[in-house]
Amino acid sequence: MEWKNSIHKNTGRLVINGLKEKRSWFLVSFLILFITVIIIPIITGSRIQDGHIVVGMVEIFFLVFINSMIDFSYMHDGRKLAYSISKPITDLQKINVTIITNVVFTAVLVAVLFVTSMFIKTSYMDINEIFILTVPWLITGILTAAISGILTGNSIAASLATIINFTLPLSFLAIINYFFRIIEDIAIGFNSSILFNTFIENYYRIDILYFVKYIEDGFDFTYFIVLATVLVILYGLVYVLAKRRKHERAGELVVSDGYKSFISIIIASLVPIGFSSIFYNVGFSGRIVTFIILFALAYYLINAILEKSFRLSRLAIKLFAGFMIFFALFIIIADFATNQFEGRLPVASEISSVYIGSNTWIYAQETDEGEFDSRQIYSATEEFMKKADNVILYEDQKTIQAIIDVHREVIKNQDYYYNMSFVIAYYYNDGEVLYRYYNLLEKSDYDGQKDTFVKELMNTDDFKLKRMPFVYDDHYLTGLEKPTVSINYEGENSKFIPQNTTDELDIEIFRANLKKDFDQYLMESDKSLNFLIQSPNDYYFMEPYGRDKAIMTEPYVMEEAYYVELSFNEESMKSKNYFSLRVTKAFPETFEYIASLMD
Amino acid sequence: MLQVSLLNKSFRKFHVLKDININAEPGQIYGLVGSNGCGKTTLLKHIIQVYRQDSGEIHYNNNLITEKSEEIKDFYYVQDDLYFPQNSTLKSLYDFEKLLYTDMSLEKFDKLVKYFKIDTNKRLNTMSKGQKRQAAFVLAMSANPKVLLLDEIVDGLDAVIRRKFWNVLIKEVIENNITVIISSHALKELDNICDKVGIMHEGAIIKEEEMESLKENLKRVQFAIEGEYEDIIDESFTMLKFIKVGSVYFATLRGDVEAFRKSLENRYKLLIFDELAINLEEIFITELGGAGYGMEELDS
Repeated sequence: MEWKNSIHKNTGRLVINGLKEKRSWFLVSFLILFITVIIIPIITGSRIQDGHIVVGMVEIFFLVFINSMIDFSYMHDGRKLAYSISKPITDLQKINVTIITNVVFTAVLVAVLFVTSMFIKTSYMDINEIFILTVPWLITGILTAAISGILTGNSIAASLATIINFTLPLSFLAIINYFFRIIEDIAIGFNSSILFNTFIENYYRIDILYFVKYIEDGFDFTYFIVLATVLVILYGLVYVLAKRRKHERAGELVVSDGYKSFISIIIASLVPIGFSSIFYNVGFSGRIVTFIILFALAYYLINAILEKSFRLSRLAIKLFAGFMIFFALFIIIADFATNQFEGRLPVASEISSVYIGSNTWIYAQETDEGEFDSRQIYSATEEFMKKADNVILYEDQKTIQAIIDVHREVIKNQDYYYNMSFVIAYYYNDGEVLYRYYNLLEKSDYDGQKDTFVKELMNTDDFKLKRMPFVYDDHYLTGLEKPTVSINYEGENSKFIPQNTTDELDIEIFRANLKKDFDQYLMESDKSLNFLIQSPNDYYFMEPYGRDKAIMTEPYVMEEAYYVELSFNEESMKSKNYFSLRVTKAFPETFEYIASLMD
Repeated sequence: MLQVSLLNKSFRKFHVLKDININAEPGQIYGLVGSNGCGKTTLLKHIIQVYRQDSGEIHYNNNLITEKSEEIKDFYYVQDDLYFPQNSTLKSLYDFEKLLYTDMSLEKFDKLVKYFKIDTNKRLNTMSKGQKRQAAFVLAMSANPKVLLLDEIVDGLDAVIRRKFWNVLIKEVIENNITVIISSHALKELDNICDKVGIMHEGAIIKEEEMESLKENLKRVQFAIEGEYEDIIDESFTMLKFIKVGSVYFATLRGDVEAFRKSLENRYKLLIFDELAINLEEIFITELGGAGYGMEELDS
């Protein structure tokens, strides 16, 4: 019954009356669209393109925003309000008429632009995508403007509130992400990006909420379900808030105390988050102190503006204290809750495969037709990881156990010879995935304990085979033609080695020497965690950090080396078809072999 | 009958309306008078449901008035600080209001436009304050409301127009038996047209009475005596206000005037004694004076 009452019996005629009053706006809008979308491209000699339609849509956004603000401004002026509300039309009926009028106004402008877009030949993008995204934005924008108009008592405040409210889900996300960053600080092995990605992919589907998903994944019936749900929620808010509005507070910036409190907390939280990029490396306590100080300052200023007074109200002080208690509780609970997970280590037999590395952006050939896809590791499945081109997934139980052993050492202490960060992703047999992220910091008193386990891992056959297949996989070159070889000598007298000499390089002997060198290197290696976590690439090298830094001599003499490049002209190769290797005297067997070719 | 019962409203911590009770009958012009900032406009805005009361109720013909009630559709409010939509003319506004008010009468509209000589195609925002008030009044009358709330409606109107205005209003009340609540500081004019008066002060109705009975209860006399007058305590009358101009005393009192005259005769040699006509302004000043309003004296 109440819903029925929310529509005035003359709504149609009132809307037409409202549209008649917008005659000038219609004319101005058509003129703007006509000039910018049609006339300017003609004058400049270019045909109408996607970009012009995008410009037209931006203009429609602007025009609809201004119109909504003007139409809801009756709630912000005591005179206009008394005139409007004293008529035999309820608050809600009046708001509904205004919403419908603006929706019709918007629909006409969008229709004009849509018809225009049908006459252009699109070059870069599907023109419908613009409409798929923007039409729901426009409709929800009008409802957001209505909500903002109800909550505020001033048209400028209503404009700002519309922008704030429209982007509120994003603001929440920014705040949640910041809280994830705090968790990252207090919980060893936790990473805000992992938490964030898990959150937005499984729980907080902001891409659906803002309809971006439908541009990426295509248009389907869920689009309408989502749109209807969002509109129902927004209209529900209009309905509830309109009934509670205190008209006598028209003229104040914000008429709802609840919204005032809410918005001051949200904005005050966003301020330190905005500054967080400046204070990125301040550490946990620095981050907390910075947050509290900037939050308090922003909160005070926002309240001073909203209340038009430099004295904080009791309610504002209570709210501040409440938020601080919540913040402290969050830290305590987060610390307590994550403690039990920090030391979690899997049992090797439960693990199907594991990844350890610094690479978190994964590339894989998704289809046999060669279509490539890229994903964050946190959204990549085990199947995707197996197809990936730039990561190694270890499946051998011995390697898995070795990685777990390294992991155990990392949990104990997050120190190393140098700063580094990496991810460990365990893919369980039952489909569960455990992600851990570690930042190791350079510490002079690092005890070298991790390297014992790293060395053990790097000396497994599985690791060698997967990390350096060219060297360790005896079947790798089976069936392939001899590669093109080029060698450059680097040293005091650098020179290019002629083709007739490089042709003499026997790949199998070359590999055998490399194997000896790498075996030796892996047996002796320490400080080599970097070698373990680097993504596999076409450049094989030995320990950039593995040995003590070379003593620089004066004058500097370039280290003697052979720069070897091998190209397999085999397009069908599933893995690398190009390798390069800088053979220094750190590869003694290989170096000697190449040097012998020069003789 | 329009009844406001125990209506209360606070703007944050400021209690602006305190237990307001008013009763306005059909066919009655109810004068709502009071000191500046006493809450007259706020009360009218509650009756028309622009504001929502914290407590208390408003009834019309025994039906509770809310924003959604059917009865409120027969109420019309003309605010003190007039507003007209941008670029609107009286004609366009009539067309708009016709969508909202079911009894809008074009015949009455045309008649009143002619009577007040208003250009219906002129933009309302370009009109003078007085012309705007006439336009607003014409619209209000054309809507044929059962309850008409007029806030400071005669402010800015010249004497001729005021006369026309009162003529129309009185005719409307007599012919259509409507209830009019009119808030104004033009007490002398209200004196002639109001049937009932509610006097407000600091958010409360301090007096609500039929004009006739109000005048009956309050008397104004002038008298002269031999010697200096001293207060007389008597149960049959109460001296409310008392000043001396030259050798003549002017007194406002409630109760039996004859008993007062006799008391004077018993104590003094009474030289002059005349009962004067009392008007709304005098009543207003007396009542508000009783509430302590305007009793301060300017230090010399």
